[in-house]
Amino acid sequence: MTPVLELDGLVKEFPMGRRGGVVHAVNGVSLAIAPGETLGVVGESGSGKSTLGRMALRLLEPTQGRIRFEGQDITRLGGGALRAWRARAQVVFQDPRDALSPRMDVRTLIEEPLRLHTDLDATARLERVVQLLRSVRLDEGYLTRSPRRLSGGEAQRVAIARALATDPTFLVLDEPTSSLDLHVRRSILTLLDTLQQERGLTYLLISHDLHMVAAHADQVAVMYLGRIVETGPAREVFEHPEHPYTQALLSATLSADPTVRPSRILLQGEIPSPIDLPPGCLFASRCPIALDACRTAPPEDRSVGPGHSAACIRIDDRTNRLRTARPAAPRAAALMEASI
Amino acid sequence: MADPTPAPTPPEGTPPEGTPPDPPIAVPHTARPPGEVLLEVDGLQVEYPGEGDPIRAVRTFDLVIRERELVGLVGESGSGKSTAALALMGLVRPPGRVTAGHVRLRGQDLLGRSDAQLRGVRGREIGLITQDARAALNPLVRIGDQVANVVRAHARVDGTTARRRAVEALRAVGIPDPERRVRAYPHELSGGMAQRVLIAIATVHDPVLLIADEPTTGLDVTVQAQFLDTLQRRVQATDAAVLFVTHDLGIVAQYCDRVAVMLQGEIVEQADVRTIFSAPSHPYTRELVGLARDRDVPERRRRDRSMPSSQAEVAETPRSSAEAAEARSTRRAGGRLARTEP
Ligand SMILES: Nc1ncnc2c1ncn2[C@@H]1O[C@H](COP(=O)(O)OP(=O)(O)O)[C@@H](O)[C@H]1O
Ligand SMILES: Nc1ncnc2c1ncn2[C@@H]1O[C@H](COP(=O)(O)OP(=O)(O)O)[C@@H](O)[C@H]1O
Ligand SMILES: [Mg+2]
Ligand SMILES: [Mg+2]
Repeated sequence: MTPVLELDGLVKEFPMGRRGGVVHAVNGVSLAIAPGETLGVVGESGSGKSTLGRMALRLLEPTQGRIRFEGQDITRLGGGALRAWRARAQVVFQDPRDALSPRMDVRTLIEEPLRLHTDLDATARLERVVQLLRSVRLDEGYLTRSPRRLSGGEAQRVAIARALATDPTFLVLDEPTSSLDLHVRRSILTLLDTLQQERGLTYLLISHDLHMVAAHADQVAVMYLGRIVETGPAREVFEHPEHPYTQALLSATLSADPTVRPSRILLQGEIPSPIDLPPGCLFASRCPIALDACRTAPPEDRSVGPGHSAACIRIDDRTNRLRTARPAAPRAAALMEASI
Repeated sequence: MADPTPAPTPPEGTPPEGTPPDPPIAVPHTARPPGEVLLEVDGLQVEYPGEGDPIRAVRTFDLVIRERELVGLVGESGSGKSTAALALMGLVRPPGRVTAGHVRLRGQDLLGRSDAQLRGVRGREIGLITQDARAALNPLVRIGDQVANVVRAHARVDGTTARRRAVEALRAVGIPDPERRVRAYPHELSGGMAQRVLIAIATVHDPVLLIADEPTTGLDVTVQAQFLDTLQRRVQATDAAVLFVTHDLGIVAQYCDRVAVMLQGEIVEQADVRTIFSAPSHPYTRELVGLARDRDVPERRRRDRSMPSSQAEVAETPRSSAEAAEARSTRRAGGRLARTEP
């Protein structure tokens, strides 16, 4: 099946103003998302996730590389064709308040994309707005509300309704629940799952929350400094992480159970600057098992299972496993318990 | 260069090479139990004017923090956590105001002090990391200068020394290439980077009390772990304490000694961390702990999805089922295949 989205060698450099130099935000990312699937992109802040998402939506021009949408090259799409295409690919951001102008009421906010992209008359638009509100489990009572008078969860529902107004096939979800409470988070994620199934939506789910990505993504791509270091079926990657960075990332997730003693991979060393990327593996400066060879050339992807690959040369002789350790200082309270 | 001959397959059950067993738990001699009372908050109340009645953002808030303690403050958004955190430093902005209560730092009343006196306390004795890092930074000033200004606000040092300390402080919070990044303006930073700058500013003077309002939301878990470990070590080494506002119960479970739970302006429950998780008494706490527990186990295993709660448990999960063995051998086959390709 033709992927909904294919990125091929995407690069984004941000020039740094008068003094010259560039920020290497995305450094050659290729990926594909099958229809109806969710690709989770995880990585630390600054690793280029949002930049990647914005390029995929043509909200930001790539420096290099190509973007195909449902088989069609849209890298250079412009003018009316680009505007028309926008109806098919939408975005939901972390903080719904960023996306919702406080000067409009909920009705106007959801109606706006309908005005832009459809020729529905006022009555039909209102009907559609109400339908959209219902699909995000809100009622007509919200039509006249200002976003200021919405809770975080309600505001995110409105933002989702607005994103769905033009009936897109593809959504970029950029940290869609990071600003929400646990139980609200749960309900928004359930809503997104349901909408995906009802409408056959394809998601690019950007998050630094590994638990969330594990539960909601089919495929996962782990980003580090603008490169994908490991990618594959979510279950495979989370259960058998091969890249040292993925291993460290997974080992650093904190269990919400104080009786589970943390045991994790301790990292040292500095994260390289995206202004001055080293020539070799970008993780080498923090990698406990880096070799000299890691610092000379970027590692190629190694296939480590069906659809699962990782870019680490130590996979070749299977010396890519990191050891875990207990963190140095336990809680004072834990210490007291231990001494009882 | 990598060895082109495939390594022999280790027998099942043998840990792969390069995975030595966990070292024994090291109990560092530096870790000591909580000490003297550092901060005492009695009957704190804070209001904002509302459309009709005032919003009583903080209504019942009594809290004691001792030296070397990390105290977690949890609760849903809007429950008054940030307002309380700001009030502890006399930072509630008008028209909001503290209507009742006392805040004492080492016995010294803070709320009665003038703005000028409070400025001396802030940054030096109490450090604050606010929730919205970008809003807390001055958009017109280079980040290096912002850190250096804080250095100079409480220490008699010349400009060069202040700038050098700024670079070091930025390096300590994991800002790559701080020598160069000092020249950046806040809008040139990602949210997580801005957060790190704020952490650097709040900790540059080794405050005795750090109030951290969701300080790690934008940080990668590996960086978060480094930050929290550093914080914990610093607290132990300098007899400081931390009030940690967070909605991440993983952080609370793994790093905090005590937890206060807020609901609609009130601390409804306060206990040591084990009790909060093993015997939560308030219904809201029970719900919260329940949600966090099943966060560890994904609610939906559609198709092929799952994730164990922690890497420690991955290692302990017996992989004896035929399915797991098959998956493993497929992966090995894949690995070999990859090596024979040019
Ligand atoms: N408009 C911009 N100008 C300059 N640098 C930018 C800009 N946007 C992002 N960056 C930089 O690009 C890198 C990637 O940022 P981003 O895509 O926001 O990462 P993430 O979403 O993973 O946190 C960061 O180093 C960030 O500082
Ligand atoms: N500057 C403000 N003006 C008016 N109301 C505010 C202001 N800041 C917070 N509030 C209100 O006070 C209550 C507590 O908010 P806050 O302290 O931010 O809670 P939390 O940090 O737990 O999310 C909320 O009802 C919020 O709407
Ligand atoms: Mg982002
Ligand atoms: Mg808050």
